[in-house]
Amino acid sequence: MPPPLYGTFLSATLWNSIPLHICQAENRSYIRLTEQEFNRLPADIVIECFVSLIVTCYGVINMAGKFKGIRAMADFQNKSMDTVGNRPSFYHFAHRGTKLYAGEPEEER
Amino acid sequence: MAATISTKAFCKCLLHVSKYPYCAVNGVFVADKKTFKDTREVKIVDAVPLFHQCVGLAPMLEIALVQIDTFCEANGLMIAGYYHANEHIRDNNPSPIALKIADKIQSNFSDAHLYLINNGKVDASCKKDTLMVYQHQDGKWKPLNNANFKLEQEDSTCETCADLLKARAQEDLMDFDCHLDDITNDWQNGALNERLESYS
Amino acid sequence: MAATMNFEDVRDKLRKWREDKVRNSVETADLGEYLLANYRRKLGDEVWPLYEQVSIAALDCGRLSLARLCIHAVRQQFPHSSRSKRLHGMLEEAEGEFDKARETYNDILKDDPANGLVMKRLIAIHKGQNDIPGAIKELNKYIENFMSDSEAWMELAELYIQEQHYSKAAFCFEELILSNPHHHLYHQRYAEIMYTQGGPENLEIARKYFAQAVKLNSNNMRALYGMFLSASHLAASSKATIKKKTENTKYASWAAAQIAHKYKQAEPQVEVVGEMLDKLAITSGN
Repeated sequence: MPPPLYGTFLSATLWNSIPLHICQAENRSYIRLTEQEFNRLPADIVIECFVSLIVTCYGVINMAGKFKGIRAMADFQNKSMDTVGNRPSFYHFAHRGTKLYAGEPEEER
Repeated sequence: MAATISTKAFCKCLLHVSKYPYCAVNGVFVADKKTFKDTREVKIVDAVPLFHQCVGLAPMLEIALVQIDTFCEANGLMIAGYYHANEHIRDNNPSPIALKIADKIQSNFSDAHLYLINNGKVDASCKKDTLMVYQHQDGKWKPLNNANFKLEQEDSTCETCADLLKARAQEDLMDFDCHLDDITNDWQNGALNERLESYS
Repeated sequence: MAATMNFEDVRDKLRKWREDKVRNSVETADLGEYLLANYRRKLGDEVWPLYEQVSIAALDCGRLSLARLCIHAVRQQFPHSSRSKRLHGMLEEAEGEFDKARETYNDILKDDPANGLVMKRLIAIHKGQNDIPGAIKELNKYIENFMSDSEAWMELAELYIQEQHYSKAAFCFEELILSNPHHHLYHQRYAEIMYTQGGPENLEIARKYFAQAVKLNSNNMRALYGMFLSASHLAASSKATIKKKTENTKYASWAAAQIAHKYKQAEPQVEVVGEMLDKLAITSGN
């Protein structure tokens, strides 16, 4: 099934949930009016709910596309030891950069 | 015998040292094989910056040296020197790691020298005495007078290097660590080489 | 350079560098100085972490006057904060006044004895004085109290590598791997240390950890190269059994194929790589 049809499928089942809710509410009010005991919903409403749920799940999964494995630390894939290995709390300033770049801005100005 | 260091090699070495001023860095110098064969003169024509992340570990050094060796064979060059810069500004003695790597390089080429960066002299003027040269004698590395190496074009080499530093050319320099982080980064620094050629 | 960029770009760039803890101090100092000079009000509360970031960057590239300006601004706003006092201590370190810096930090610790960041500065003073054994000693004491501090373990490992105490460096990375078992860089670095130590058992461990790093991140070139190297050495070892030789030859071939594939995708270094891999396979047989 091509992707746009999954969307149509999904929308149809989601829209279908509205009349399902109305049916269920009408059923409850009928039972209250006829002073019957409410044990469970009628079988047709239950079956319709389950079928809607399965079709919705099918539509959502196919619309979402192919699942990828959840990789722990996926955010470290593109990082190198240059950034990950930086230890800012232990920086010291006795290196050649302090002499090399100290005079720079004054020259530019 | 005194080695001659080309503008390209000197500039690349200093740019490497300037790009990572808070790290220990190292690299090798490559010389022209034919010149050495004909005249026994070590004419250093290029520098290959190696590492800045962790200079003390072996595997990537092995990989780098083999890659550089392969490149040298294809281009009539040979690994003829090793440069090393310590992390601390006042640490101007070759570290045990530097000595070990220099030993390895010297075992393949007996006239190889160790060039230690004098961190206290690294500044925007890029003078020749930024490099301290060591020679392997009687199983030890002994410091030599700076007269024991010369720059190809004494005045203009330092000027070129200073200009490049001012223009922040070190940001374009790629060492072997950069190449391993992303193999599209060219450790031979072709683009920078062209830029350096335009200065000569 | 800063003048050609707009406020949002500069601010976002600096924010990213702050979050990722990137150390490019020259650019940070330049861009930060530009933002603080021209857009201080527009930054709002973000100005304070920016002042901190710029002062550290300025100290890192020797621009002490810029650092003093930023630290002064922070101290005026937060006169009693240990964070601003720590910045002042860092300024004293950069000026070479290590004894004064020590005093500053010890004063902070009197009021807040569990301030880990200040303890780390005391260790950094040892590094600033090029006293690596002293730094290692103090760092070991720190780690006894702060055993889950990954930054401290990594720092200790790097100091041990500098001193060529590879087995101790390996131990530090074992702790890091225990706390972050999915971090490919830790596995890779641990494998590099084991390889450097040498010996058949260490090579085997190195190969396994390189392989794990590749499994966690197939783009880790160091891990691929390391796997190739260690497997080649193991396969070529005279003490290896036939089974081990076959296994390691298989691993080495697989790693070589992966490396060649990555270079082919990247181009144009393909020729160099092919010859190089052959050469590595030969040299590891020596």
